[in-house]
Amino acid sequence: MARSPNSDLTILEQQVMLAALRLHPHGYAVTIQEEIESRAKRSTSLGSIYAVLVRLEQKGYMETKEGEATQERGGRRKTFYLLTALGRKVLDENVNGIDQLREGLSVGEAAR
Amino acid sequence: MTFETSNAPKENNVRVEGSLIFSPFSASGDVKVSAEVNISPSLSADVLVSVLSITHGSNDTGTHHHLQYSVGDPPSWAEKLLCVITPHEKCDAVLGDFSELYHKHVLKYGVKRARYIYMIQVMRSAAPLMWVAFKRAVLLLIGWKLTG
Repeated sequence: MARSPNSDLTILEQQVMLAALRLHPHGYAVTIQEEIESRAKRSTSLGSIYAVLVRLEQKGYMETKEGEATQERGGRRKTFYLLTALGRKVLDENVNGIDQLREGLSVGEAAR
Repeated sequence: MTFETSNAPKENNVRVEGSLIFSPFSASGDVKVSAEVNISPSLSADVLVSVLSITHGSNDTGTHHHLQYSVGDPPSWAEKLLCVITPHEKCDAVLGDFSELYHKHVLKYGVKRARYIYMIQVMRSAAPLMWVAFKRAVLLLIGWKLTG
């Protein structure tokens, strides 16, 4: 069955969701940014991460949970981001779509 | 007495070389400092610096001093700007995240560079956050128009 175009995720949205899933349940903007930087080798500003997180939250793909406040955060609480069931489903569909397109292709070899 | 490191401390109990400014007197010329810095990862306000020796010209004080090395605060105007462009309910978390990064950078690069990185980070974050605020404002305006 065809997916609705509204459930298409951008590359950064997919990366943010995958990073949050890896860090579950303690993923917050700073660690999500670090995870994307270390694994995807992509440098993004915290503002871009926040913009994506707000958008995903509005779409119902992510939910927030209040975390602990630490001294180095100036006593401010962390906001942890967790994937909802709908978010997991949409992410799975998007990643599967790319996997299906990639199947049988040697993308890496073609680039060499 | 203010202690400014030229080589930023990189980990706990590291030896650093830097310049010393004595307040109210400041030493002119090269002042060499050998110090041990004890940084607690959870410490937010100050870092304890044990100065082992201070050399000014040929004079070596040879004395041991303990002084507090302030990690300072992020630029206040940048914090205010962040609060203005961030959705109200997210402001606390965003400021906390930026503050956490700032303290990591202070330990890695020193106060001056950490403040500079903080400003750059806020500048880079301004556009996407302002776009979120703009879209929010437009949606609120449409909602207000529709409900009369």
